[in-house]
Amino acid sequence: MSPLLQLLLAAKLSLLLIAGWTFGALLAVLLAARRSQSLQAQSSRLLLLALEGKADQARIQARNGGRALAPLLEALGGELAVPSPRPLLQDLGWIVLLSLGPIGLLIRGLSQLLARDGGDKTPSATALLVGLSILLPVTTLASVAIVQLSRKTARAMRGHCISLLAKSVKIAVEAETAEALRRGANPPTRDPRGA
Amino acid sequence: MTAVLVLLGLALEALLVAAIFAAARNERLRLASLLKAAPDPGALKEALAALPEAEQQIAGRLVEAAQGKGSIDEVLVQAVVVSTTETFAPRLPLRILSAAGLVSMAFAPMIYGALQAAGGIAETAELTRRAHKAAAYVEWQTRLEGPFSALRDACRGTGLLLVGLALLSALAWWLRRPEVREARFVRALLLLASRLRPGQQLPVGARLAELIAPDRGLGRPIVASVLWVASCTLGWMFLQQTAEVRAANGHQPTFDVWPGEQRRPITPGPDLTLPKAPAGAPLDERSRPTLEIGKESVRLQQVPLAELSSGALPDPWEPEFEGQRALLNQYSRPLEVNLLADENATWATVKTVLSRLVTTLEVQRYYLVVDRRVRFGTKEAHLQGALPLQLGHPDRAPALRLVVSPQGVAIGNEPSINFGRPEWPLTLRERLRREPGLIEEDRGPLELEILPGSSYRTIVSVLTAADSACLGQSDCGLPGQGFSFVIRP
Repeated sequence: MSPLLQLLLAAKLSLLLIAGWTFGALLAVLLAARRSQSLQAQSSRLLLLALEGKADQARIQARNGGRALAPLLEALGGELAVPSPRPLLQDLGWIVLLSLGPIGLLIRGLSQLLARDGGDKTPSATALLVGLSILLPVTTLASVAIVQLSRKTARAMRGHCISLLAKSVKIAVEAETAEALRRGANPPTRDPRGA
Repeated sequence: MTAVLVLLGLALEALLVAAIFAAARNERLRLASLLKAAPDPGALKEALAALPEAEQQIAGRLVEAAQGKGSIDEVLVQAVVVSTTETFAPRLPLRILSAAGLVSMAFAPMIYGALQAAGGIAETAELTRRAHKAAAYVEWQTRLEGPFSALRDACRGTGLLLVGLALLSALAWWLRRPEVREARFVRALLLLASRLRPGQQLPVGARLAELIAPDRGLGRPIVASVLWVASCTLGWMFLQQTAEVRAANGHQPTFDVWPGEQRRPITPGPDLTLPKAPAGAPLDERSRPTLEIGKESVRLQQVPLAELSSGALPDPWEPEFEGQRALLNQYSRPLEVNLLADENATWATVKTVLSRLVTTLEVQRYYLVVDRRVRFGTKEAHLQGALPLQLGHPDRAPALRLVVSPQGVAIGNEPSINFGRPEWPLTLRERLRREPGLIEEDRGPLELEILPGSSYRTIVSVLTAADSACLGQSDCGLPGQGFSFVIRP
């Protein structure tokens, strides 16, 4: 067994933290992917319901679907407004949570290295170096993957909102046209304010 | 290796920047040629064929409808809706794979540097398992200097690549994000429709396109600016807070480790100036008698042994030592003596006195006391260190032999290290460090062969250069590496 491996195996708790956090980052990405898939499927289902003429039912389900479906709920309401953009800091919570791993390892490693107990500090030093060289890229990559998944979901939902918006715009334009035609055919003959 | 990784990363980033600009320019040109070809069906067909497949299908349906007789407003609305669901970006797995590649590329120098440093730690730990504490310190400091300097450079390289990635992401966000490409395409569809059917009303399509046009408000740029300023401020505060640590890293470290009661236990006589040297261990004056060789006299426990004339002993010098023998009875055997010799004492005098005490008083070992001056910030501490020296046959086989001449010092039969070069102490220390087994706790003594003409000061300098645990020439305050020295009669 190489001396490096021996030293790493001596720092059991740090190794556990590295392995656990790598697994946790992977799990977070899988959870985000699952959530993204579920949101997209839910959004598609609600769009289909609305296009089938069951807009009220779709609205109820969108309201029950939570904050993630809020843009769709607005679009189902028939508002002629642009779908609200994805918040800039939407995934900040995930990123902060993921970055706790490397920060935790750094704090643990430094506290062991700076301790005045006089014990052997080589396992802590190697575990810190190897751990950071694993956790920093893994955490960054997991954060990027979560942001990409979130953007994909937001974009799919925006597409669904625009499908509904197109329908609303068509109805609005048709109503305006009908109103204009009505006004053209029967122009007002008296002052509406008069008695 | 680190430089190669950083250069490769920068080259890849430069290529990607060029690719983003080229892709954005090509897209604009394709859409412009589509609009330009609108009046000519043949050219339009060619321009449509030049579009990517998804865009080709959407625009193709619009052109087909425009060539018919019905309203194209409905088709335009469909085209806009399909455009917004079209991702205008590579598939998610491909995006995540690309991100993995770029993140690995950016972190590669740091990973390489960290693994090299960890490997260096493991190797040095293995090497110094049985080493003397001070020798292990020197070994750690010198062996890890390279890997940790490389790690610092590697982290800078990774930082540079991450800045490059941030700029690359900003560029991709500006020119190639799906919303921007979608807006560009929808605008082209609207213009194409108006050119294919001049004068045709497009009330729904135009209203929809207007509603989904990208936000040009100042909200996002302001939030981004605030975040940028906040991150710059945090970085600046971090640098400000760690300025002292970084300044300290630029100097040789000093260590305040000398035991309080042993900092300067012996006060030398008025005719005596101890040689200054950054070596030797703390000494305990109570356990050993003191021998002083000053400018004017030789004294054992302050009792004169001889008067010196220009540093030389009287000729003949045959002291009785009867009084001294009684004085030394209180000390345990084998007898060890602290030697305080003037820095300008002649080696001939010192050797004669030491040899005489060995033969007459059975002194087993001397401790050459040196003056240590350690600078802690603005304060200077005066300490005394001791280097063990034995005259006679060593108890153990010597680890190696140092040949000291007035011109230089040689390790065994190796070429001599010349005293004329200012860095000779560091060269000697470096060569000794490479000798196998010399860092181990149970090593043998270093044998000294003193050639005629060498001065006491020179010999102390050689002992100091071999023993010092300080990496530079100045005194770091650490006890020496614990070597013991022996001179055969």
